[in-house]
Amino acid sequence: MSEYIIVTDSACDIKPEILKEWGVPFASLTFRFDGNEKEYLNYDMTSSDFYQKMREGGVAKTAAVNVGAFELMFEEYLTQGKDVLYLGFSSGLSTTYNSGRLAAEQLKEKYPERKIIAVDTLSASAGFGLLLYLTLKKKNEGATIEEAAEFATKARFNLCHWFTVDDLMYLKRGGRISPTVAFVGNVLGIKPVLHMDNEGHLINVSKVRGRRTAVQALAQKYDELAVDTKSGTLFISHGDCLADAEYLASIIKEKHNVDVEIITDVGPVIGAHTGPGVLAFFFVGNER
Amino acid sequence: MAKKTKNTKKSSDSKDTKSLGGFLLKKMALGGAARLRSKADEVNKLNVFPVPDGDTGDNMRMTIESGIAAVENMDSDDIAAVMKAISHGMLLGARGNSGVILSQFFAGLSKGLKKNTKADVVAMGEALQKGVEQAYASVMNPAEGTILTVARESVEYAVKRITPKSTIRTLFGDLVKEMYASLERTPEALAVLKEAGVVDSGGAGLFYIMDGFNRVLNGEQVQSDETEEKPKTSTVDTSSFGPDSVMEYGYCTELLVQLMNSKTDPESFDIEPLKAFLCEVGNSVVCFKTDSIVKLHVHTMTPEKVLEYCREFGEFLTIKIENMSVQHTENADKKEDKEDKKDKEEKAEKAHVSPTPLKKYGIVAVTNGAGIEGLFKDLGTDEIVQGGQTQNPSTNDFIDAFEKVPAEHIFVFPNNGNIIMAAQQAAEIYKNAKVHVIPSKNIGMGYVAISSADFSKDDVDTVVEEMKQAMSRVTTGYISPSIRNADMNGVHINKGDTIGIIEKEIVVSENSRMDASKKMASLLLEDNSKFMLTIFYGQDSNFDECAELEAYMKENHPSAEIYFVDGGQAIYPFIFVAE
Repeated sequence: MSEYIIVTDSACDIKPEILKEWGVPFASLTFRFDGNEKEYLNYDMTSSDFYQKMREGGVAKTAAVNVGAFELMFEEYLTQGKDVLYLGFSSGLSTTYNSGRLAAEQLKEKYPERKIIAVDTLSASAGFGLLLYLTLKKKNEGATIEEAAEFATKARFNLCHWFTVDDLMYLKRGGRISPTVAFVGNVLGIKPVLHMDNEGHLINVSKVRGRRTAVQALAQKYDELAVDTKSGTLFISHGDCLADAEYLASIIKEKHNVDVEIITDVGPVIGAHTGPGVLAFFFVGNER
Repeated sequence: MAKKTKNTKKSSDSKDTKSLGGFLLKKMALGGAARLRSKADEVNKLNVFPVPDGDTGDNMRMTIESGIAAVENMDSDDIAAVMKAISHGMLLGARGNSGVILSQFFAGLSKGLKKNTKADVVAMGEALQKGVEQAYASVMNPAEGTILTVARESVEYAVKRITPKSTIRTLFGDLVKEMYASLERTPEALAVLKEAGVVDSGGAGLFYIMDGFNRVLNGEQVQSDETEEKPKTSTVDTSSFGPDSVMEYGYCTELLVQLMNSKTDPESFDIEPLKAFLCEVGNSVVCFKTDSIVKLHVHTMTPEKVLEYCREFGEFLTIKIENMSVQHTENADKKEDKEDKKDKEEKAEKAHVSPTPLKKYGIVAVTNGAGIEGLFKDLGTDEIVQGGQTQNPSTNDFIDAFEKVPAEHIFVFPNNGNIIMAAQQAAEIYKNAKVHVIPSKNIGMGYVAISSADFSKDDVDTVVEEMKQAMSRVTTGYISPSIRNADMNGVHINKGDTIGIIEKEIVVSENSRMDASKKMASLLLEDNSKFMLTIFYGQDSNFDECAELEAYMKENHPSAEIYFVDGGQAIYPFIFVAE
C-alpha cells in the first residue's frame, strides 16, 4: 500500500495554520473587488477587513481554482511517489471541484501507477472542513485511500449544514439562491434559516423573526438531527460575528457534550456570497 | 337619504301601548338612532385615555343607522318582521366591539320576538332578556361595568317590575330609568373608568338608543332632526370627467318607485319583467317590491330608458343618478348603497363560480396610514380594509373585502382589539371562503404575525398556529400626546404631555416626546424577555428623532435588534413593537 496525501481547497474555511498542522495542502480560490483588478487568495485578507469592505458596499467576485493550479499541486506529491485524495468544494456552488477532477483525470495518464481520487464533498465552509477532519481521522486510523474516499463519499450525506444570514440580498445577487427563495428576506427583522441539500444547493427552510431566534433555531437543529451528541464535533463558521457564533456554541454546550469545537471565519470566497453576518453550523446527522 | 316615511301614522296610539307592533317599533328605532346621533360626540369623548381616538359613539350610531336603513321602506306592522330586518341590518353594519355587541343585543330581541306579530309587555320583556343573553354570548370574556352590565341590570330591573297593569311604555320607562342608574354605576365596577372619571361609553350609547325608544313611546318627536344629515357632506370630484372623456362606466341609478293605481295594480304587480329589463340595459341589478313601492338599483349606460320604463307603472319617490366615472366621496357612514349590501350578502350566501382559479391563501388586513398599508401589501396582503382606532370598519366592510379575494382560505388581521369582533362576525357570515381571523389586537401583533407566517405550508392550521404563536410574544407600546389633564395609575398627566400606553395602561408620561419614547423603549426591553424592537415612526416624526432614538438604543440596549419602519401613522408618533 503506497502512501497517500489528502489535499483540499480553501473553501473548507479551515485556517491555513490548522491545515498545516493537519498536514493538508490546499489550493486557494481567489477573489477581487469590483472595479479593482487586484486578485487575492482566500486568506490574503483578514475576515474583518473583508467584511468591512462589503459593508461599505464593496462587491466581491470570486474565481474557482483552475485545472492548472490543481495539476501543479497534485504533481508535487505524485512525483514524490504519493497517491492523492482530493476533497473538493461542492460542485453545486463552484466549478473548483470539476477543475480538480479534470486535473486528476489528466494526471492519471501521466502517472498511470499512481492513484488520484477526487471526491465532491457537496459541502461548503466548515461543513466541508468537518468532512475533511473526519476523513483525515479515518486516514490516521489506517484507512486506505480507497477506504478514505469511500468514507468521504458516504459521510458527505450525513453532514448537516445549517445557517442563517443577515441579508439574503447577497445570496440572491450571487445567484446562489433562487429569487423566490430570497423573497422572504425582504422584510426587516426576518431571518431565514437555510440548509444545504444533498446536491449541495442552498435551501431556505424557514424564516424567523430576529437574529437571536435564528441562532436558537440553528441550535434546535442539533437537538433534532445530530447523531452523536455525546462526543460531538461542533464546527461553526461566521462572517465577522464571533459573538453570535459563541452564543450558538454556548446553547449547544448547555445541553450536549462537545469534544471538538472549531469556530472559524467564513472566508472571503464564501463570504462574498453570503455577506457579513452569516452564521453557519455543521454537525453529523442521520441525514442532511 | 332621510326619506319621510308616510305610513307611521297608522301606528297604534303610543299612550296605552299594551302591545307593540312593527309600525311603532320602527318609529322607536328611528327615535333611538336620532337620539344617539345627537349624542354621538359626547359618547366618543367617554374615552378612558386622554387620547383623541374615542369612537364608540360613531361606531354605535353607524350600527343602529344600518339597522333603520334596513326598514326604511318597510311598511309592516309585524313586529317580528320589522325587528328581524333591523337586527339583520345592524348585523351587517356593526362596527367596533360596542357596535357588534349592540347588534347582538338586537339579534337576541329579534329571536325573542320571532313568533310574535305583536308583542305584549311579557313577550317584550322576554325578548329583552334574550337580547341580554345574546349580547353576553357574543363576548368571550364578558367584563362587568360595560355595556353588558348596563343592558343586563336594566333588563332585569324592568322585567321584575312587570305587573298586569304594565304597558310597553312603563316597561321601557323602567328600563331607561335603570339603564341610566346602571350607567352611573359603571365606574364602580370597572377601575379604569373610575380612574379616568368617565362612565362606560358603550353603555352610554345603549342608554341613548333606548332613551330614544322611550321618548317615542311618550309621544316625543325625537326623530326628524334634519341636522342629522350634516356630517354627510358629500363632495363630488368632477375632475375625472371632462369634455373629452369617454362614458365608460355608466350611471349608478337608484330609484324608489311608487306604483300607481292609475297605471297598474300595485298589489299584483310582477317585478320579474322589470328585473329582466334592467338586466338588459345594465348590470348590478337589485330590485324588489315592498307593498306598493319598488326599489331598484342598476348600473346602466342609459338611465333615461330606466326612467321611461318605470313611469309606465309608477311615479318616482326619489331619483339618484350618478356618473360612475366621477368620484363621490362621502363620510364613512354612507360609503355603500344599502341595496348593494343586500346584493353582496346574497352573493356571499350563494355558491358562486369564480372566474379566476382560487388560490390557497388570501389575506385581508385592516390598516391606517400609507406606510403601514404598504408594509402589509409587501407582506402579501390582498385587500386592505381602511380603519383603525378612530375608524372601525363594519362587518360589511370585511365582507366586501373578502369578496375581492379569490382564495380558499382568507386570513384576516384586524390589528385592533376593537375590530376583532366585527371581523369574526363577518367570518361567520361569509360562505365563499374559510375565513380565519388572526386576532391581532394592535398593528404590532398583526405585523409580527403576518411577517412570520409561512404561506408555503399546506396545512392551514399550522400556518394559523404559527402566526398566533409569533404574535403571542409581542408587546406593543404606543406614544401619543395627551389631550387633557388626567390622573392614571397614580401618575399625573398634563395636557400636552406625551404618554406611553401598553395594553390599555399608561406606563409613561413625560414632558417631551423624545423622553417618553426612550422610556418606552427601555421599559419594553428591561425584563430581558424581549430582544427585538420594531419601531413604526408616524407621519409627524422626523429623521432626527429616529436617529436620536437609535443612538439611545445603541448606548443603552446594545444587544437589542432595532428596526425602524416608516408606518406613516397618524396620532402616534411612534409605535414600539417588542418581541
